[in-house]
Amino acid sequence: MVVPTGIGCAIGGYAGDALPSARLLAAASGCLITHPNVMNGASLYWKDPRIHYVEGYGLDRFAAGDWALRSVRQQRIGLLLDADLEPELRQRHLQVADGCRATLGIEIGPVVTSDVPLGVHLGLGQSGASWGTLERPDALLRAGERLKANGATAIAVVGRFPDDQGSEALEAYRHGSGVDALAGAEAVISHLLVRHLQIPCAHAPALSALPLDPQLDPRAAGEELGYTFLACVLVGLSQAPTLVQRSAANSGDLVAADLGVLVVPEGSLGGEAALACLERRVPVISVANPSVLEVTSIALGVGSEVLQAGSYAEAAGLVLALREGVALSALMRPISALKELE
Amino acid sequence: MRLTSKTLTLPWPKDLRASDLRGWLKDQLCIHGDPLRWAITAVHHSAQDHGAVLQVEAVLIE
Repeated sequence: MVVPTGIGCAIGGYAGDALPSARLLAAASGCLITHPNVMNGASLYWKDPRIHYVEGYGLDRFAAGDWALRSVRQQRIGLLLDADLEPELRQRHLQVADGCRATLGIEIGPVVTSDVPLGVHLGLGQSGASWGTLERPDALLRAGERLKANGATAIAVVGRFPDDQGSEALEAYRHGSGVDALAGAEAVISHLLVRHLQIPCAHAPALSALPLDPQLDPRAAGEELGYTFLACVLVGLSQAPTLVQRSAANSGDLVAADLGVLVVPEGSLGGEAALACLERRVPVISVANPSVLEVTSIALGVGSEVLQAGSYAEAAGLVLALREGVALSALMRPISALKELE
Repeated sequence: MRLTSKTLTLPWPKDLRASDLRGWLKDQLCIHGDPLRWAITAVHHSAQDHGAVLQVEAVLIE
C-alpha cells in the first residue's frame, strides 16, 4: 500500500489518516507492506503484526526486486537529533523516547546529535507537491554512520523544521486542505539514510507547539496532541523489517515476487514503486483518493491493466478476491458468456 | 555531497511502453545526478500528434 507523502491525498495526506485503510487492507491481505506516511499519526499509532513498516526508499527498492524484507523480533533504534534543536525541544524528544522505553518496552539507543545543524529547506514542485532539501546531508549521514557503528539497527531522525505559524499553507493543512509542506523534506531525510546505510529509518519533524485551533480537521488532529511527532516513529521502527540485498535473501524473507497486488491512489501511478509493479506485472489497484497529482492509469495508457476501486473498502474486497483466487469478473455484472478463439 | 531539486520535461518516446518507463526515466535522471527521490507528476497528451510529455520532479544527489 502506497500513499505518497506531500501530495495532499484526501486519505493519507494528514496525520496518519490512512491508517484505518491500512488496517483493513492488512486484514484482507494477511500481509501488508506500507510506509511511514501511512502509519505515522504523530502521537497516534497502531501495531498490527500483519503490517510491515518500510520506509519509502526501501519500499521502492523492494518493489523493484533489489531488496528483500526480513522480519525481526526487535530493532534497536538509534536516535539522531538535529543540532539545531532548542534545549527544551530536544528534552521533549528524549522524554518521548524514554516514555517509549519504559511504557512500550522499545529498545532505543544510542543517541547522537548531528555535528552541525542539518539545514532543512521546504519547497513545492511545479505540480504543487511538497519537496525539500538539506543544506548538510553529509552531517546527517555522519551521524547515521555513528549510530550504526554503535549498535543501532534502525534510526529515528528528529530534524528541526522551520516554524510556519500564521501561514496560509499551515492554516489550510490544519483545516484539511492543501499539502503537508513538511513531507518532501522528511522523505529526503529518510531516503538518504536508508540509501546510505540500508537500515530502517523514519523521521519525526521537530516544531514549536501550535496554539489551539477550534477548526482543526480530524485528519490533522494526531499531530497536535503532544509536543512531538516521535512516538509513532519509534513504534513503527521497533519491529520494522531488516532490509536485505535480494541476492542474500533467505527462504523466509519477503521478496518482490511475493507481491500479490499494489494499492495506490488513482493519480499517483508515477512513483517508482508503482512503475516497478507495472514493469513486473504485479496487479495494481488504483483507489479514488484525490491529490494534486493526476498521473492516472488512463494518462499512462494502462487503463485496461489497472483495477479501479472507488474506495479503500472496495479495494479491500478486491484484495480479498485476489487472495482467495476468486475471479473478479464473477463478482461484477454483466458477466459475458465464454467465446471460443477464432 | 549536494542535494538539488529538479523538474524535467521529457517527451515520452512513442515506442516505450509504460511498463518500461521506470528504467528509462532513471537513465534520464542519471544524466543530471544520482536520483534520490523522484516521480512522474504530470502527463501532457498532445491531440495533434498523439504524443505525450512527462513532467518528472526529482531530488538528485550531486
